[in-house]
Amino acid sequence: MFAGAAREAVFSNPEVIRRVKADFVPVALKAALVNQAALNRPGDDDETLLYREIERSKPAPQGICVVNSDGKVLNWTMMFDDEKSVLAFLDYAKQRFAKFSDAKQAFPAEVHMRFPSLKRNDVQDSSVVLPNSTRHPVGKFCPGEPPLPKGTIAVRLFGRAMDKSGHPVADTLRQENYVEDRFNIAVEVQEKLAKVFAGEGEIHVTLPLELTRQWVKQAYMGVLDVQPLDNPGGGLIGRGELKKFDFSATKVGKGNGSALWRVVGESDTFIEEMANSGPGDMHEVKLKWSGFIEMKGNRISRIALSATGTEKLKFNSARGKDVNEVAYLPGGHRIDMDGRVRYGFLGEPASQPVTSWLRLEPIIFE
Amino acid sequence: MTIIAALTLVLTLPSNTELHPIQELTSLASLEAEIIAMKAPKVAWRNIAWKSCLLDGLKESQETKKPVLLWIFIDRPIDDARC
Repeated sequence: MFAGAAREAVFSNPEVIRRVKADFVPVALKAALVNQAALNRPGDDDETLLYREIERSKPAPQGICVVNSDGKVLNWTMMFDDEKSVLAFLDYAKQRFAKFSDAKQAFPAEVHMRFPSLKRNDVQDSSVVLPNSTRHPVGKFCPGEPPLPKGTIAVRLFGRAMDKSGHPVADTLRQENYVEDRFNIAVEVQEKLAKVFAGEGEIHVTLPLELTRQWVKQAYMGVLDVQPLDNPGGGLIGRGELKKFDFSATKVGKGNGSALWRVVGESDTFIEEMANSGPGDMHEVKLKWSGFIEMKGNRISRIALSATGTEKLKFNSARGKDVNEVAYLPGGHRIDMDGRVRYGFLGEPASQPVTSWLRLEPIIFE
Repeated sequence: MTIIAALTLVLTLPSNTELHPIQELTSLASLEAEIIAMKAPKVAWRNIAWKSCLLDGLKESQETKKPVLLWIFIDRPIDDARC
């Protein structure tokens, strides 16, 4: 939730974008990397020590932080009083960097829950000499981008809310209107699919749940917290209801070791209790699916899927109109959508270079 | 569909076109082109090129004499673009 709200309310502001690009080195880190560094395990490498220094002063498991060139924390904040305070935070952090650009002198980390009005106690310098690492140890991958197992299919997903005339809603800032996402199809799932396709005399088959449930789980508009199936709230939060779920494929071509299957399907998911949701909140997604899977041997070589239908999402319903979103980043904004949607999935083996289709300019259809 | 779009579809057909009935492959290529077209060319939040490597960030900070702005967000089982 925090990341989605920060992306929309903070890092899409043109003046913030300009200042960040001009005055900072922007780095996005997954919270697990920072939070797990606190475990202090034997054999931890230099990079973990740097993560641990960042973790030491954090006000929460996520946030916005400025560090100097040696990795020492200058400032933390979770939220901002208003939009002007975002720019003031950047200015202030820049001023502190001018004074403490490296770790030669001790200085405290300044921590705000909301900048500048809600300040916590400073976190004093640990006096620990941090390693000056500029590369990962030989044989180790970057924890920010772990490699995928060979044979994994990398799938990119695009979702658009449609207006009453059937065109995509123009706004692409809000994730209830426009979403990009990605997920992977594991080798084991592909092998299970290959077994289903290889059944003797099979030309029309029911697709395995392990494959299709993943598609349905990913096809929704909005932030992570509103996922209608296997909601990330976990625990007491409902897993979501799968009201309709029916996917099949028909072989439509083969040759030279490959086979093409046409996919059709229908899904209907519903959930009321979502992470950080409240009274009146709900999410319902009803879709009809079509597309193709190309198989080579027991692996998927290409996949393209389209899903169209309707979606109803109510989130933060009990709240009034959002007027100052930067002051409530962990809670996110209110969502009230009800209309037609379309999703597209494209996948190919992850071992290939970054897909050519991602670099293509979009084609305009009339 | 415009002529340019139609030509683009033909150009984006894979090299193994002959392997499958042409009608099906054209449908697959059409579908792929339609999905590519769903991607918004310009979104505000893509204007900042976030690095994902802390070491890369610190190295650039030392070289450019600029502070590192860290955006730390909750991890999920997959490498999300949704957040």
